[in-house]
Amino acid sequence: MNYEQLCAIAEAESGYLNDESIIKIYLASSAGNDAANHLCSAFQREIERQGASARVIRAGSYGYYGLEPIVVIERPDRPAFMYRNVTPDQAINLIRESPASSGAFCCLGGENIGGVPHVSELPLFRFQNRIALRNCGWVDPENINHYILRGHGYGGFAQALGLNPGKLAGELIRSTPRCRSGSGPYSPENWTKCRETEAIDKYLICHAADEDAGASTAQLLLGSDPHSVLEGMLISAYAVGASRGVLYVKEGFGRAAKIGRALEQMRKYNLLGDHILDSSFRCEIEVREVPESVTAGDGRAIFHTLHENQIAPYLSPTYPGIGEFRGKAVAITNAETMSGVSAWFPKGRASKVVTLQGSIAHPYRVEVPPDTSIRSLLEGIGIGEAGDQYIRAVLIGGPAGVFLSADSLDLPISYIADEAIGSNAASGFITVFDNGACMVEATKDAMSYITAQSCGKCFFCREGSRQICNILEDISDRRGKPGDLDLLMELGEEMRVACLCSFGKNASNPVLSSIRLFRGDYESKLGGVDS
Amino acid sequence: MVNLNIDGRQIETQEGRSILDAALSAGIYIPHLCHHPDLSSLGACRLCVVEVDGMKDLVASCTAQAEDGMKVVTRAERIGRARKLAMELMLAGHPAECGTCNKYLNCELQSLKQYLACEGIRFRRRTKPFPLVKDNPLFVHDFSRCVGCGRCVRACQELRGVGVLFYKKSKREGYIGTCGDLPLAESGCRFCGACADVCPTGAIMDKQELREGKSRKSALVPCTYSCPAEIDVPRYVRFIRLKDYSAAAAAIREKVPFPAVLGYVCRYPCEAACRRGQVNQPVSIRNLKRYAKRRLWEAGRRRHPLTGKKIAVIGAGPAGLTAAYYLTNRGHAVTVFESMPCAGGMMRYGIPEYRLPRSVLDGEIADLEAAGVLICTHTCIESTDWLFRKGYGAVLVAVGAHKGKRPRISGAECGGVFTGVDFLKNVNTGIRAHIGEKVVVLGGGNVALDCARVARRLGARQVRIACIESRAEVPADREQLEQAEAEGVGIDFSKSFTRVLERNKKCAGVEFLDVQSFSFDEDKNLQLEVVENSYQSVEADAVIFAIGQEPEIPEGFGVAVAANSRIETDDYSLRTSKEGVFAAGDAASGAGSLIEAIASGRKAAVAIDLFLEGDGNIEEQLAPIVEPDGYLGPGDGFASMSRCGEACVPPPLRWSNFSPVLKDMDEDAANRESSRCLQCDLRLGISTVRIWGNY
Repeated sequence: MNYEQLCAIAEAESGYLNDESIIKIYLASSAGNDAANHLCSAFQREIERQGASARVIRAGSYGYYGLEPIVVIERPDRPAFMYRNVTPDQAINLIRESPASSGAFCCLGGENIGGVPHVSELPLFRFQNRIALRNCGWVDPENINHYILRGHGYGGFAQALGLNPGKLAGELIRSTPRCRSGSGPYSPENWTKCRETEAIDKYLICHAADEDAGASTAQLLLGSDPHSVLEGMLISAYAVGASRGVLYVKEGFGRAAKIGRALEQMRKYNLLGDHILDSSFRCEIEVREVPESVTAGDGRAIFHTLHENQIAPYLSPTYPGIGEFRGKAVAITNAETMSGVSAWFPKGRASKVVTLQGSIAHPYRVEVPPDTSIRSLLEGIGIGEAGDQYIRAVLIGGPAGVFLSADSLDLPISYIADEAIGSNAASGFITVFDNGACMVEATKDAMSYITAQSCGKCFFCREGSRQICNILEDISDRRGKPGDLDLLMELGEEMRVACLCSFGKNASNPVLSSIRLFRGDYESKLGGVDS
Repeated sequence: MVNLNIDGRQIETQEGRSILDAALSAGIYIPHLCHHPDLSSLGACRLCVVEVDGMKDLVASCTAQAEDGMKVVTRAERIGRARKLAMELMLAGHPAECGTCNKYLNCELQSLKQYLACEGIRFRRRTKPFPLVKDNPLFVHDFSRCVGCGRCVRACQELRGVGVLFYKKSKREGYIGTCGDLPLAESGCRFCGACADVCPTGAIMDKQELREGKSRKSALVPCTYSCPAEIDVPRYVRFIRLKDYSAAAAAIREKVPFPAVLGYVCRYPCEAACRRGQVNQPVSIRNLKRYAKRRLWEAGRRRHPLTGKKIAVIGAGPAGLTAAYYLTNRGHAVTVFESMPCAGGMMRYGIPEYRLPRSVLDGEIADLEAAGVLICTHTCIESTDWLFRKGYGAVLVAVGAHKGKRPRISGAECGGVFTGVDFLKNVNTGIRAHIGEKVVVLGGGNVALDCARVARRLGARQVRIACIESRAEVPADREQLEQAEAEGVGIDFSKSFTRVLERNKKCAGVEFLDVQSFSFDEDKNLQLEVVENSYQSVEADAVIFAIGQEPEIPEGFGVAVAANSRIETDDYSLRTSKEGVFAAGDAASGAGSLIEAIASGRKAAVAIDLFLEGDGNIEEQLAPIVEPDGYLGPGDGFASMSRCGEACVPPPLRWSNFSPVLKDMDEDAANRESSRCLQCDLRLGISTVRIWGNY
């Protein structure tokens, strides 16, 4: 089966997506959203009652969690409208001939109809450049046809098969922004090394069990648009010469089973196995659950599961992905990069998925160009105009990231992934602390999360983060002792060297950066015992 | 080779070794904890940090490779500070009190704490909320003492390939546990003990009661070290598992000249000690021994050059023949004198044929004769001086204990009353005893059971045993007891016999009293407490006393005999009061088991060889020395594998004849049973960490 034949089947099975004569209702929500389930049945009932020529498309989440369920209605006779926080009662009105604009969030065509803003007028959309997240909210994640029909899914891969793998690898490396992939193990430069290694077994590993549970971009992607990640894996596997792909997901919630069904659909379309799309390319992708014992750790740890049943934070003298790991060459990447690869192939446009959280009106997951400044992003999407007066600090790069004070907010988003600040690369996580926040408490909370996340295998990460937590708790309860701040700094600095994986090496980031920036907060809690 | 400089010393080491290894083998101590010589290095504890010229940060010397031209400093103020920080961090979550810990003075953490002089701890001290877990077999877990070095996890994974130990977290604390926190037995654990061996603290330890008062070897490999002859049990069981049966037979034969006989009648102290017994049931070691011995072993033995020295052994029982065999091997000319028509001693004249087929015994004796042992039967020796005059340089008295004891009670001497030893000897030499229909055997040992079961086979319809012990105290083997009861032998426990009832100078019955309790005083005299007026009696056509036996030592031997009729010997050298005369087996130590007699014979051989100016080394190597494969692999279902015990011929087929009671196991069963072995001996192969005091 070649790509054209594949598209023909998809068209035959799910042609309603391109049928302009029917009403299409896109119902987007995170998985397991009860309100969305009720809403869906309300729509179905209403369609049946009215005998309307309509179709409900059950899509995944956009990442605008506060707005769910989100509904987009496309009708033959008028522009599409988007509605937020839709209730079953509303559903009836939406299908009826009531004014489409009533209660609409924005319109997707025309402009400013009935006082409803056009999508480009809303800051939430204006700032964004959705590439990796392009299909999120628009396709049924359980249906490969949706992925194929919307934006020529797997077309990029079909094209890639006609290219020289070496050239393709170079192209991918060039077009993948560092902030997307992260540095270190995930850096795309390693792909070339994997490609050039002479090993019989080559693996492409996609680590979709986010190190930082708070960011969980991978979970959004796998839940809303798994094929964008899987197509990216096929393209990358072809480029690095791997015939095996392994997708690591977190245990639980039937995640692995869902991906398993997606893989079955791919197999049906000749996208896995031998002679993929009638070419000589051969590739198998399997999904594995990251064992319970791994709650954190860097990508390197994941290699161990290829051989052993327990991930151990062993230090390797050279990074194994570069060359061989016990006879196997490995390239490692993450879900966001893979979804990006399938979208921007063959020409790259840069963007980065960012998660906004904390003292903020709209906790969203969005995708923006990397040169967007933190300040403009927050002012535009997160908190509005209050800006400098409102923000005391942000924690960037997830809980194991670093604190920035309000005067550093002009840094671009790409800076989050910069090694220089040592934050947890690529997590794209921004937590906002407002003017009333006590930075001792903020740091304590971050460290408490880290303590819980530490996998416990590396001594300094486990014990160090635990001690930092305990000392911060004491200071917070005004039970701090003389010398505590020096001790925190000494321990924190040692952890940066002593911990075995990148999570551990960064685990003391919050406390180190917070003491440097906000020493006054600590000293007032210590009540002079430390001066 | 790589040349590097450590603390100003030029050190040469192999390529690929770590700085730590290079330093330690050059005698330069670097403190370390998570590193273990047999395991991959982790670099996690940071106690082994050193300064390497040209590197900004301190590096963990266990994971850093030694490189040519490297300059390493192991002691500096900055290094000390880093090590101390790591140690403080470790101790903050570890119990402060060392004295109450069973690992006290054996603890690597404690030794490191002293080395780093780490007294004040700046961190917040806390107690880890993990209880002491004693529910698992063999091991005690106390994860409040765990420092999370992960050595056990690596040992389980890398050394053994079992992989059931994981780093886990609970209540914000790290500990080591199994998948789903299942008990070890359900997790696929193989109970090899590698985890306990590598644990540097008291977090995973062998149960105290299994180690107390024992040397490391005898605590860890109790099967071998509870065996008087120290047969290397794990080794031959391993050969059986690998289906190399002749090697298995040879491995047993290295320590005992009667492996097949032992396969039938050994009282297997090894099985009582077997650590597998703590998990579910002990390995059926004797059964496996009998299986192995069905195969021939290649006679690869090496006889030493002749010494020209002559040795006389009096008594061709297990002790005498064993000594004779090893002394012959040492190059001496050994003659064994036996007063009975055949060699074998108690193996032939005591043990009934249904327990030990005579062909098996004959085969093994023939084997010894083929090895050069000369046996003169029908020869009664009365004087050791006569032997010396005949040119023998040394004499071993191994005449056994063949005189049955009779209690001093009324009727003990009347007709129809026998001692067990005489009764069995008569039966075994073909002299038919007239025992009638009803037989009462008095005694609670294996001999009593032998007498009762022989009586049953000779046609007695009603056979009863009476003994002063309760069922729980009875010294006979459990297995023998069950077989006897299955054959219809009735047993009256806790009975004291007061007299033999007489009718026409012939016994007619026995009178008993119920025993409340009994004990032995300082002089080993029996102290009985009976239930008053609990007199009762049973009828008997014959009464057999099986209450013990003692040696009969002719005066002509010229050796001092103790009050209990045993020859007085020096425990270590087995020398008697007479120069050149040694004593072994039951004659020296009183009635004991076969394996004890064999062990005693070995000891005598060593002593006599030394006396005759040999080096006393009687060890043989008959089976190949194979480095055992310690990589055991996953052990799902291992702990629940049940014992393939001894199978017997059904009772109705046994009580009318003397054919063997025990059935042999088949190959499948032997392989399965041998794979139940915990391979405790692997643990002796794990390196011991040298602490700083040893540098």
